[in-house]
Amino acid sequence: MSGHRRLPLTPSRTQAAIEVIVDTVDSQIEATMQVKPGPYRSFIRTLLVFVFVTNWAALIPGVTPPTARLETNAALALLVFLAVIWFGIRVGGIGGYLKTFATPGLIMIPLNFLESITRSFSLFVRLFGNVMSGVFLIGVVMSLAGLFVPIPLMALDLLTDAVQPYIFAVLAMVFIARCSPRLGLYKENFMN
Amino acid sequence: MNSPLSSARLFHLGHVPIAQAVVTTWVIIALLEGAACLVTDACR
Repeated sequence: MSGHRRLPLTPSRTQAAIEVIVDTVDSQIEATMQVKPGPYRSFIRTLLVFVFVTNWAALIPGVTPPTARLETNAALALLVFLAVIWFGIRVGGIGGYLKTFATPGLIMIPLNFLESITRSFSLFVRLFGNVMSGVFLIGVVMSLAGLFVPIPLMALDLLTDAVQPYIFAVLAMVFIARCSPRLGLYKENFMN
Repeated sequence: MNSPLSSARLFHLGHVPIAQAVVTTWVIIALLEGAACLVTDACR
């Protein structure tokens, strides 16, 4: 487990469960970004766990998941937007980061610049749309039909809510790798 | 049913309105922090 040097070699059940989560996220980062997960794991793991828990907050009666509101998702997308710049500059320096806008050619600079903003919008509108539609649909069905009718829909909604954090985190990883020269994903897909 | 685009304001922090979703987010962050501390202690 990362960052913890005093862990016992024979893990308890809790430690084993946490290690499974940490290893899964690490292997996902490695598979998607094709890089050692070290610098990225805290950010990506926090995103994943936070979005998952906020989505499933709908399980608590009377609580609307914060991800069903635009402001929460906008804040998360803003964090990803800033993380892309931060990791891009950290990996390739300011020059290297700016060069990523000129791939595959100089003519793409305006489009790549525009894309860096629009993809943040698509990121939060996607999450908002998926979570809000589930909450809204269940509300409508509950007001039209009886108490137990929305239960299958709620189960389906929980499944959607569990998939969304994964999509959000994978997109964040792709956006970061897209603007970080020298990462495997970047070299493979965006270098001339 | 409230519009999904409108947010219920709970209180103001100075001039900044604080929405219900923001307070829920704070509670979730606090719970996650607490859970992380407990799990870290349990793993020692």
